Amino acid sequence: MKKITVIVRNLPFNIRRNAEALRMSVGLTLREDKVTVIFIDDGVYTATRTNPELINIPPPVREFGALNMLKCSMLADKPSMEKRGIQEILENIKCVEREEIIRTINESDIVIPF
Amino acid sequence: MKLGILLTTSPENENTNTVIEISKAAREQGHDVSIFLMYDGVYNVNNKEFAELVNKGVEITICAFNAEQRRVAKVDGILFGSQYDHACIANSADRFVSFG
Repeated sequence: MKKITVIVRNLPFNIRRNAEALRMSVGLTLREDKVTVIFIDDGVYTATRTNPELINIPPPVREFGALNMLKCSMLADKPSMEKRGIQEILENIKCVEREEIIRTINESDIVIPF
Repeated sequence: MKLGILLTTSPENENTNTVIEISKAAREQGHDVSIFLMYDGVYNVNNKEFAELVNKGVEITICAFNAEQRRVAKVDGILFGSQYDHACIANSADRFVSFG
């Protein structure tokens, strides 16, 4: 079993990149590898409660639901959140210190910045 | 050694040339190379030099879902697959590199 880490670091609504990163993360579990998703920099906005339907963007509900069901770790970088004044994130996403982000990346067999 | 490559950017990005050159070099040294294209990376099948990697023994798989979204037509020798194929490449590769 490999440890695969996907890093989400872009704003969520200007392009479909973040939703695709989550879809890809779900797919990467299909060979029973351990997948962790890290939200860092502007990517932490993806970990917040939003209403993208208001601008005709489908919310990534299915992707988050699948990642939860598959028990994938989802980590949000605390310094990135603090810098942007974000205090609340989605349940099942854990706010962690930068050291844990670095440790997770170091321990990964594959890191995919998306 | 088996090298896995994920490419998510379209052909105008310098990543395309990098992936082509890395793949050629790896094949010349006898390594297996599998490339997975998704997101805007699916457009690379329209790049002649990129698609010709198939003739050098590079396995190229494209996310059919993204290809249909972008109306990318099928190309001989390139597998229109799924995220399962990507999971298989990541799982079996000795080294995996992402270009995005």
